[in-house]
Amino acid sequence: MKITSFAVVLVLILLFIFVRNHIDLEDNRTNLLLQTRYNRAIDTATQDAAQALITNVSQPLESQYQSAKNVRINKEQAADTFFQTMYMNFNVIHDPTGQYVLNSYIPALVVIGYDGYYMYQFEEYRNARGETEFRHVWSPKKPYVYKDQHNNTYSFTLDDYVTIQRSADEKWVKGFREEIANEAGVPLLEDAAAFDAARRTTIVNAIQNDLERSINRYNVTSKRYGTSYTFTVPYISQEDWNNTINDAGVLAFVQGIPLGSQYYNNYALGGRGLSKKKYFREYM
Amino acid sequence: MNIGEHARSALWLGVSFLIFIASLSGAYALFQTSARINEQTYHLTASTDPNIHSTLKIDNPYTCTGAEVRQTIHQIDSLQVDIMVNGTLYPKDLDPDEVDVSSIELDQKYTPAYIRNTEGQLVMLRFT
Repeated sequence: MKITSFAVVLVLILLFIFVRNHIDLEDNRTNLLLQTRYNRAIDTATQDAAQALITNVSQPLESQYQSAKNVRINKEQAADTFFQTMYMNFNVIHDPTGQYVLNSYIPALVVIGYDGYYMYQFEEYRNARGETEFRHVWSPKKPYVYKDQHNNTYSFTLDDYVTIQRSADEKWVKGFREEIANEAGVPLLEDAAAFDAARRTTIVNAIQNDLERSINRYNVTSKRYGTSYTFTVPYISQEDWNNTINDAGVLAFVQGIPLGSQYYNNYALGGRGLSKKKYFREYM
Repeated sequence: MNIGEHARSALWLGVSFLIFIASLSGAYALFQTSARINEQTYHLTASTDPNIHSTLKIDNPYTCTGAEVRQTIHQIDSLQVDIMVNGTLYPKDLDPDEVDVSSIELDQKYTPAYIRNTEGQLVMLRFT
């Protein structure tokens, strides 16, 4: 073999390796770009939804003077805004089929309210034509409930306001922990640190367990509709959980969007710092 | 072909060979770098995926404690739907501070069922 032929063979072998490498690089580049776009889309949609949460729904219900965190939330408006922003960012605003496909990648949306949370999750129900429909519907509001060893039950909120049903006389006692600690005669109220720990753990566990259950149920049902992706509850750091339960807000999950050879999985929190302004305007 | 041409040809071949070796080395280095970047990117993408620590479990039947049922009834005015617990109806307009929920056992497990209308809206919450 002449040296030039040898060189040509070598170059051809190298070319194959380089082309393969180039495809991999291109794949990675596209994945990263798409991932950035999708991250932006879900972050924007969640922030928009959090903003829409405080849209005025009913004037008499707006004034809640007990706490700055006790904002009246408009969950329907929040969900609508979330999906509209997602449709816009994924360019399916005028494409109902595309919207349906995109919806199937969003197994759950959690709206965290002052004294309870809502899940916007996939569920089957019978529509007006008598057909079974499988789409996002609202769960009832679920309070953050805790029971101590003395059988007192507590309904916590995002701050120190608490509703207790005392086991001794089955009376309902409610108010801020500090204000009702003496009157209620419940040991947990006397220890601020233990109360806060119980409150945070209760809220996080309630949302986590419900989310797990909701996503697992979605997996079981969506398999029947042809979804091959297995949805999972992502790992959410303690810091993120602490931020989530500081104020009313929205927690969104997007999973399973094909991304080259991988799948896109992410969650986004919106609404941190969502609280009433601490001033009153004087009208003449 | 005289000796001068042979020498020139040998020199050209030598130079070409050197250029080829240099290109090959450069290409190899470039290939190694891009392969490393590729691997690093895959690794980075995989490590930032929040779903790698999944908490997938077997789907258990959804149950609530009696405490949850009692506190849910106490929040009935914000739920705006009737609640039925083991056949006892708690209408949505009841006074939550006066309601007697002592029949609901705190340690008993209740299975909730969401009754929806044809629009998918919740119309009743039933615990059994």
